[in-house]
Amino acid sequence: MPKVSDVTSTCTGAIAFTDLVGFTELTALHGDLLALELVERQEQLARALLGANGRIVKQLGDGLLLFFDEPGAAFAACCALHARAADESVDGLPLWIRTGMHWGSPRVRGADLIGHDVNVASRISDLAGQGEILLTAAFVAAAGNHTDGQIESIGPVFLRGVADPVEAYRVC
Amino acid sequence: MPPRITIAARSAPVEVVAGGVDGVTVDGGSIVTTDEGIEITGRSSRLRVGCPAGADVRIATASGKVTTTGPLGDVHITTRSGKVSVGEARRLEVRTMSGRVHVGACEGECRCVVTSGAVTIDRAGSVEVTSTSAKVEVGDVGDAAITVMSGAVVLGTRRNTAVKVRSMSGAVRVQVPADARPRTSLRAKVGKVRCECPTGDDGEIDVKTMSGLIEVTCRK
Repeated sequence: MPKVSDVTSTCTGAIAFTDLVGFTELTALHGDLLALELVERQEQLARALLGANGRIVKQLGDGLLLFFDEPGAAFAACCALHARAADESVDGLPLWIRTGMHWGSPRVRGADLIGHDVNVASRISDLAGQGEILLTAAFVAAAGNHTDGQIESIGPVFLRGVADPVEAYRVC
Repeated sequence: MPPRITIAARSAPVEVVAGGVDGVTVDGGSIVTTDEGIEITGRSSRLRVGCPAGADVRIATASGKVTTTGPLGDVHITTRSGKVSVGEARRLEVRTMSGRVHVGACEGECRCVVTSGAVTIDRAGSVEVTSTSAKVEVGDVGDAAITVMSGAVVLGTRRNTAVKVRSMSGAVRVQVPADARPRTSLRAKVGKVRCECPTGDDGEIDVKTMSGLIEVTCRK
């Protein structure tokens, strides 16, 4: 039987989690079908805006795990996704999304990505509000001048399951 | 110029008292001075920090309650589940997943990102609040941008301000000064719309809700 180290490799890049805000409330207030249409609209937009450097790793309920080889492309794609989502609605229901972005080297397991850096991206998105993109300091460092003048520090944040606080930023 | 103070305490309640001291005092934590400012880490069951008036403060807790009293500068607070109470700040951002937030006075922009709980802001230059299921209550504010999934919104505004509220569910009540004549755009897909004040060109109130009452009234 092969060891885990034999069947997994790492890839370095930008990991982004994007999901619908308040999905539980959304389904309770407006039903599963409308909520599902919003989920599909989010995915359509993401596919259209990912570009050559990005891919949808997997769908997670109302969310998407995205991976990009290049931080500038990741930042531009996620900003474009939010700009487009702000104008989208289904039967009057607005497409309210939030995104968390991190830079790291997750493990590759088939088409999937797993590991600490994926968890950090997921947890940072938990802290984002409607329409917000939050970034870890690791992403900001990797992005260099791609985020210049577009982000603001929100200070350190504690992420669930992560021992030390992480410096975070929001896209203004 | 007052120092920038960064405070991190996983679960200890954090209390910051601004004013009455020249330097920074710490009770219940360790302090390190760096090029970036002062970093304080909570290490006991309670962290109390004294600082000069007007200091910029960044506070992170996982579950600890955060309380500030006295005049602070730019304040950033992030907690996953702790209650937050801010007495006075020049500019403020609070982010919490399930805590109640109370702000006494914020001279400039007051941003609150809240998942559930309740947000109460007594007075602010302007507010931007996004919430999933919290009740939002603002006593006296200039411009306001509020987005809620579900939960009531109650706003008291000044003259000639821009108010924008987007809600999926819950009543939205806006009270304007007695002599205000705002331009209004009030749209409820399901629910009553009531505007009891005369309209004109004196600021703008833009409210859109999927379900819930919209009411605009004048202060008596």
